[in-house]
Amino acid sequence: MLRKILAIVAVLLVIGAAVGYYMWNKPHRTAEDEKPVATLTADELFNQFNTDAAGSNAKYLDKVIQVSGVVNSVKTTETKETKIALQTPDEMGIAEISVILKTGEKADQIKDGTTVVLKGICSGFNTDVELRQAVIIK
Amino acid sequence: MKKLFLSIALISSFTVAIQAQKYFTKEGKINFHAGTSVEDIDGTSNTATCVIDSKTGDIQWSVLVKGFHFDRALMEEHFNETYMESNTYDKATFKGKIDNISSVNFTKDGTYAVKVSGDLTMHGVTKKITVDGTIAVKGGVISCNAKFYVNPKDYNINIPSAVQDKITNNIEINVSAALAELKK
Repeated sequence: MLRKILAIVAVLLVIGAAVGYYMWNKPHRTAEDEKPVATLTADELFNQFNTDAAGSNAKYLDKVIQVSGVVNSVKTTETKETKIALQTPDEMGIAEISVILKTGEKADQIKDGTTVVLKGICSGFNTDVELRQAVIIK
Repeated sequence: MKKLFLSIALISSFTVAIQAQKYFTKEGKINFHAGTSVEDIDGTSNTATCVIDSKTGDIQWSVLVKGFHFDRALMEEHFNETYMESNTYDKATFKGKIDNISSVNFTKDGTYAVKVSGDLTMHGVTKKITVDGTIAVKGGVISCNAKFYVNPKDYNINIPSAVQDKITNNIEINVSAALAELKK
């Protein structure tokens, strides 16, 4: 009887350790395997956040969205992330859709001035509409 | 009469030349260390917005909480869901003034020590803080840097007792930004 209990406890401990190990080392959530809740142009996305930030947050915050737009720039950040900036109709010429690609996603083929389709997780709207953990659709 | 008119014109243009100039970036960096000897807890954002008005000394920072990246996915989740509740409080902001703005010459290369005071708002709570920092002017680019400490309790950030030995009450925050003139 005691041996059975010890065996069960041992199995539970191993399962617990495995779960803990997995949680500790689990990969970041990315937009890669999730279906977007919305597919928009960069202009539409900017206009929605610009006119109704709270409503857009409710719709998109932490959700995966797919956005198409014209590339203003492709940069590497200080923390070695690739950031693609898409043009918006911002009158001040400052706001962009700022998309940070997930680790390992390459943007070597992306040229300024071309149209791309990106899918990322929405972080919100500050100066730019920001997407993170994104992938290139085309 | 002509001389007077000319002098007035010259003085006016000179005044316009030293009028308020705003400096701006949306690629400011904010990095914080919240860990203890138990483990490192570091988060970084490279998309902070900073604006400085060189005439009034007004300085503002704002950053999306969800824009902070952690090496560990689990830490990033806890940071957003448990501590900062970023679905509700999506931004952290600072609105303040460079107290000794007149001692900073934005048109002359150099490094200037500054004292900044204002309101820091995080997790829905606003607190007055004062920070020591530096402003460096070089070739038309304004670099600002500051380091300060916050106690999460001051911002109603609830640290569960199970992890109290993992998260410090003295969180170190480093901000740095390279700002350029905001062209009108």
